[in-house]
Amino acid sequence: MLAGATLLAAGLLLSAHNLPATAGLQALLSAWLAPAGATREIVALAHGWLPRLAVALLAGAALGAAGAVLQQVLRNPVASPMTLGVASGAQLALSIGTLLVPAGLGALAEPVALAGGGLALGATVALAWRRDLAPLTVVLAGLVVSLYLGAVNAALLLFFEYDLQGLLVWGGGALAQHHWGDAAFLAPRLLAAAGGLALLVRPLTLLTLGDESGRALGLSLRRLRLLCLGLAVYLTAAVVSAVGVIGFVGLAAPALARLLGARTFGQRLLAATLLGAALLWLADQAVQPLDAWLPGLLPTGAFTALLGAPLLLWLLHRQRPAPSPRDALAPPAPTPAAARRLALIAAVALALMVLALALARTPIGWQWSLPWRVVEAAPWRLPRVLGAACAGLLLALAGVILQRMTRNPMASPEVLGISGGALCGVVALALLAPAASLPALLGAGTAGGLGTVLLLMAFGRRSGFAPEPLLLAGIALKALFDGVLGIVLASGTPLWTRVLDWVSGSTYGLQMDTALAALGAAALLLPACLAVQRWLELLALGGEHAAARGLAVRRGRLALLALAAALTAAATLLVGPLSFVGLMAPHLARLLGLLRARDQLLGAAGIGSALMVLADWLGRNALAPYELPAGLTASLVGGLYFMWLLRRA
Amino acid sequence: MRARFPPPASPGAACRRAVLYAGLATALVLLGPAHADGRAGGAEPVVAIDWPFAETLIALGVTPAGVADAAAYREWVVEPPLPPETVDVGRRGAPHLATLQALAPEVVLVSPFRRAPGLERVAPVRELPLHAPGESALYGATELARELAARYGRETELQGLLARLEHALQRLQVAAEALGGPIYVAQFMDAGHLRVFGDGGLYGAVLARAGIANAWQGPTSYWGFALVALARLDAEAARLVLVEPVPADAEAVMRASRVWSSLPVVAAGGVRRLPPTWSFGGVYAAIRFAEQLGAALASGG
Repeated sequence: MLAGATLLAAGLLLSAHNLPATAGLQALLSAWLAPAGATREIVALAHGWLPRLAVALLAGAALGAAGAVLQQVLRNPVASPMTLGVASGAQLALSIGTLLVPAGLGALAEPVALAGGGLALGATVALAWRRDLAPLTVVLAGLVVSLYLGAVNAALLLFFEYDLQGLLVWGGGALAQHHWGDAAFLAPRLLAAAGGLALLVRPLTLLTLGDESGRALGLSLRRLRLLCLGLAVYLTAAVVSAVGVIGFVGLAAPALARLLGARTFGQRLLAATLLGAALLWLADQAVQPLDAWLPGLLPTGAFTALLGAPLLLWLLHRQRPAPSPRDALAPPAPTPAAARRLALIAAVALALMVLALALARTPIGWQWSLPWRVVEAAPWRLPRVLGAACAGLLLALAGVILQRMTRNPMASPEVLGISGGALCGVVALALLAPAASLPALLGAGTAGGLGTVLLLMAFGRRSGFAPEPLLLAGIALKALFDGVLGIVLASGTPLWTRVLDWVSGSTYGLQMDTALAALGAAALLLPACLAVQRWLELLALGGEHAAARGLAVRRGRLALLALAAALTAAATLLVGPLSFVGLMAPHLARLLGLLRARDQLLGAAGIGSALMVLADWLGRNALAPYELPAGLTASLVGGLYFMWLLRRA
Repeated sequence: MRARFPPPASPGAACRRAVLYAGLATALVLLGPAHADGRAGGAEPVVAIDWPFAETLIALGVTPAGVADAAAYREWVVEPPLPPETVDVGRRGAPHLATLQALAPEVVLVSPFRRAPGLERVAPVRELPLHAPGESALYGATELARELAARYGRETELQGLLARLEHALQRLQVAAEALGGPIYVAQFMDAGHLRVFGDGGLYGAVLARAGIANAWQGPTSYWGFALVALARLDAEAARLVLVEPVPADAEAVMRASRVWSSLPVVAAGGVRRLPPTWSFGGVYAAIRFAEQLGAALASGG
């Protein structure tokens, strides 16, 4: 209560501070009716400050409502428009639209954003369908879809730097207004959706009873879910096409509503709508004085992501850890052909490395050189191939450990947020000291990664490093770092392509000594992973069963988390935080029949190296002389295959 | 290539032969004839990674062997036009090393910011700062032109460019005196936000040299601009010069927004447009900017 009152007071004070002028009602009316006669300050108040306030309230309310609906339909306390990939889908669709129609999308922006958001949500739901839309799986699937769509967007940004740079500011969620256009756009849409939702409150409340009861009471579940999801996407797409991506309001508002005691769905919906409006209003008013003394722009959307992540972490901290599912599994029988398959994987990986070294595209056409000649003729190729192979190996191992430890097929090194932490370290140093050298940046990245790991460990201690809280904390941290990245990209610095390059996983310029260090790290960590394969085998059965078989579960999980963190940090410093290898390689290994921990570790390691080497080679040669970073190529090419794979599995 | 062989003994053998021929054909397609040197005749053995270097070289009459992001240069910088012999070496942040090697340049010119690691393995790299911190960007650009002219023996062209710059600056100074007030120079980034150029960049340096007061007194980034919402352009300025291109949404905002039309400089009818010039360029961009600004300020009152 006290906190709420303080925040409200702070919001009012800030709003008053940001007022360009004070005016009576008379003056305001004259500003609207006869603007030519009014002074500049009054006009700024009537056509700038007030619309901005209106848009903040409307957008916040829309996002809060969308979040509440998503959480009810998916029965997931951490679902929100941003975590389910809707915003990324809308953003990517708008980027593509801008490229296809350079003159400007104008009125087409809304349907385009709607289509993009809808497709993204559809992909998320399809990915999580096999696991009956279990809450954590849905969120992770949403993360996978956001990562993938973000990768495509990053590729477009790298190649069409000047065509799309205008979208960067909008993408950060800048709310500055100069006319009532956006407010007039959002208001009727919010009202229409609110009307629809008001009619649907009763059926949605019945969803709380569970599927069987709902069906028994005469609900058409599928139709209801589709309709409500459609409304949520509609609201989100309207906000995104008007003001860009605003993070966390859609998550924080329903969560706060629950915290403040709203019990029924109707109460939660109303409270979430009002709280969403209040939160965005507060954030927007807080941003304005900060914005005035920075030379770059501080977009409200990226700022809310910064605020929202600690909020989410705090919320998770308060929750009691959910008991893990009690299904008992027996360790799988060893596959007879495992050794042969592992040998095949190793052979393919080596063959790809040779290919990557020997075959390259030059201005005169494709050229095949003998591998040992390459070392003198093209000395930059060997460290890159080696670096890519090691990074792929490290990421794959981290993926296997995380997927087995958390018993969730969607877990991956990116989800932990470690790579995001490393990125933040690098960005912070690059902003403070623009002329910093590469070793200094690497050091900053390591510090950032380690800091994130410590945060995760501190966070997970309370729940005994149980999988769910850990993954959720990782998602929150990742969102925090996305906010930082959004701010950097929107700040208008011409270096944003360099940051994007690094974020997208480029092996460009990798030196031999770094590659050898990576090889050394791989040589140390691979045996370490093999040494703990029994723990991996046992933890895949679940915490209680593992303990029953004699494993010190807490210590084991901590050690595995530390190992995964070390693997991820090393790989991030090589190829940046974005690639799908850590997610894909364990799945591919399992598809090839390598079910036991040891087999899966070795198989995934081989597959991971092969994938990264192939991605690096494709990125270097497919569009020569334009290079795509390895991590980005792996995400683009592999991501699609991976999502198809998941549907089949 | 017509191969004459005796007819195959069985379908299996035919199949294997077909695969063999296909494999050979593919290999031949993939293997191109190897040339030692990929550089076109008439081009100097220099590769410019950053566009100011390319622009200055071409303005001095030197055809560089390679330029990074050549396609985007042709679209966004436009002048001076890139000669057709110049090869595209890839993205500025990640130039294609195999292409660079085939061009066999004597020197690769790169700025410290865009410095991609690993370039020195391919060719000698010369890092030229575009301008030192605290130094005028215009001074940095002219020094760069002097150095490149000395290296490639283009003294006459250099003197021509410098004379043109002086002339343009003098005209600008005359136009500015007639104006009697500060001006804004800005470029729309999206519908509601502009880059307004202040101290530290090329445009700001040209204005300072010509004695024109800059109406933007707020903080600027290292590159000499500030990204602001359009309502911040609220000083009493004589002119607001917009550098094209202007996005379509921004046109709509300029037509419809009361906030825009209530800005003092807009209300007084002081908005002028400049054809696109490259805001982070070298001496040629400075000349173009000064000439076009002078023309815009002189005409239309």
